[in-house]
Amino acid sequence: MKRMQKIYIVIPAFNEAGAIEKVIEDLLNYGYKNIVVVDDASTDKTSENVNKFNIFLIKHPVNMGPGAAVKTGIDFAIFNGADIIVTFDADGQHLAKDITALIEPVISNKADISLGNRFLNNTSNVPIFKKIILKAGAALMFLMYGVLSTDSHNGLKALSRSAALKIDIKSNGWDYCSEIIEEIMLKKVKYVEVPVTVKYTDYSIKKGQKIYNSFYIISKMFVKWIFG
Amino acid sequence: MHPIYIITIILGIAVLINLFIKIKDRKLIINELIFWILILAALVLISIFPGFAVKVAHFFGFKTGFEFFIALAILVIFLFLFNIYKKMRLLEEKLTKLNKNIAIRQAFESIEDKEHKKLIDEDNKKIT
Repeated sequence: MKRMQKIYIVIPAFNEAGAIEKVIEDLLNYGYKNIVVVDDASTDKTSENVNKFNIFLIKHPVNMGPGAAVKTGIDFAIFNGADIIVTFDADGQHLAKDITALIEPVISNKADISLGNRFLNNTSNVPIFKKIILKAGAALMFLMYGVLSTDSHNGLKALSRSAALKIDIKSNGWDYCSEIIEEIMLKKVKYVEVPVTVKYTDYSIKKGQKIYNSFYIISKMFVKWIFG
Repeated sequence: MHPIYIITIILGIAVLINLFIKIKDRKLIINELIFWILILAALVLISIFPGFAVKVAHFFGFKTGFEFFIALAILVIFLFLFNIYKKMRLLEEKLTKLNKNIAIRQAFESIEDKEHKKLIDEDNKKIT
């Protein structure tokens, strides 16, 4: 008999008191019990709000960035025996209902990593400027690493346990998403892209990655590419 | 001798004395001291024998000693920058690891605490 897969949802959170409860409620309603919130040294009531639920809360003593928070969450999930690890944003952009389709290729061994892609369907209201930046970033990733992903900076991803052990996230900032793509290429990890919806609200736009940050990520990627 | 050369010699000697004080107080390691001594000695020598600097500059294809000095300074600054970048990345990696380990350990301790408290509560219920 096939045993049930242990699915862990990792949510990196920094000052997300305004959205985190709704995100957790949504995940619990869909039956995901193993939720790991990594509070990246928030200064608001993120931890207090998470503590209202019977889920895992990991608190970073120092703010290190989303990449470091994701890494902490993944390592914690691995320690706890997770079979599949899903990374999920804390600002309410992602929908819990998308996880079923996202993890399906990993469960059925079609891929080791499943990358959420907001451009494969027309359900995401992506602002036009953001769309251009994301597409340009994806083109750059293709030129630099040869991985064809049209939405490399989507926080919704599913990793098998073996892939999570292989992928080594060293970047602490938002560039961890590009690093995952780089690792997929370097370590020849099987991946698929799955259509997901990304909800843009005033809150998520305010909280999400800033446009100017993309220029910083690109310059960092170049420095890393050159100096290693 | 041009006043700028005199100022350079005085400044170079002052910095050298400062470096020796620092090494005495163990605020500087020997490698760093050697590097700075070489730089300052070169600076003092160039100030005493400016003609030599011009010859070296011509040897490397520069028109004046000043041009050569600026090019060399930029090169040294780049090397420093690269070294600092490397050290910073290493420190950041160490800090991230430390941060992660502390956070995970605390999370496990709090889980154990919760489990422990649950057991105590269950025991208390049994007693009452």
